[in-house]
Amino acid sequence: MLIVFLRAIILYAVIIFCIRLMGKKQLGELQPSEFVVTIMLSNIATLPIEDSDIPLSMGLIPILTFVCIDVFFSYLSLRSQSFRRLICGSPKVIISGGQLDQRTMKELRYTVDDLMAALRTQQVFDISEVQLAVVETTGQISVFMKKGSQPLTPEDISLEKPNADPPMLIVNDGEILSGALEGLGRDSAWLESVLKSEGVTLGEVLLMTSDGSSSTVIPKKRYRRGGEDSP
Amino acid sequence: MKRNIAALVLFLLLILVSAGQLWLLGRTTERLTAIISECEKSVNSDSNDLDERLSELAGYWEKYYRTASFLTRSDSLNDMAADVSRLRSMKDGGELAEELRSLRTRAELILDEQIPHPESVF
Repeated sequence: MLIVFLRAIILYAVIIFCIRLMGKKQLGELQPSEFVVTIMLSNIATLPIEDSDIPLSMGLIPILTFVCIDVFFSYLSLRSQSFRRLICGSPKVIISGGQLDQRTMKELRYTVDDLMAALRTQQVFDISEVQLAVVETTGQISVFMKKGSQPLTPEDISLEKPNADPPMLIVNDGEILSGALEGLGRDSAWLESVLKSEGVTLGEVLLMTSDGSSSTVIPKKRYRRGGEDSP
Repeated sequence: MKRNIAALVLFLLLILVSAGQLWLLGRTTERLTAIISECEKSVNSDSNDLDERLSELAGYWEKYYRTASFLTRSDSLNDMAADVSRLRSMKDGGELAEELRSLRTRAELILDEQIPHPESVF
């Protein structure tokens, strides 16, 4: 039992390291090769845990090998378009000029149900509103709506709105995030004055967002770190 | 770029470790088979140093077992461990030479299983 326990800890740390080495990707945005590596990592990692007769190295070596190969392939994909096409394929246009490309659908083995489900995940419920739809190499579908179906923007009604960055998180659970104030062009004196005007101390702030102007959002903590209600 | 370098270093390390494990197992097996051969010679020549040879074998067996079980998954190791512990009792019977031969063959097989022959890779 102790062996299994220790192996579980080691493999957990190794998997975390591997995921970090491979880089940040959402599960739904993995390329085929990355998807394969992720699935295989999880399967291989369980082998030395399930069977303590298997040396730990029999799990670690293939895991680390897959990760290294994945990193190399990612680098090669970045450098060579043909390599990228070989490993990841290329996006396919499935709706063009408002017309459904049935041949591409057949090539992709995309059924009507698959198409409609993919469109619905993009909040499209009427296929006639789609100008262009592309099936990405990750399997996700990207949709460009017809002009008449696109959401109205301030530009459409000749309303000028200045460009601005979104609000940033400045305080997280009572702690100031490094670089956040500098990013907004503010300093700690400004932060103190804002907190004072809101009648809170830094330790009472659950989170604070701001776009650098007077617009701030400051929910207070309800629970202290021990889980008890704050007074 | 840092990620690529880290992956490259890790990859080279993996190659070194894998090859190193095979080399270590080879070296340990070679030493074990040498000691077994010495024991066989003593048995065949009815020499007085047979006890000493068997003690040497029993002593080296621990090291071999630890190394081999760390590097391989072989069901033979436990059987071999049981056989090594019975060697002294076989001294007076006629089975000692046969048992030593069997031990050597199994140790060589364990090493051979780890060598990447095409038929074992595919």
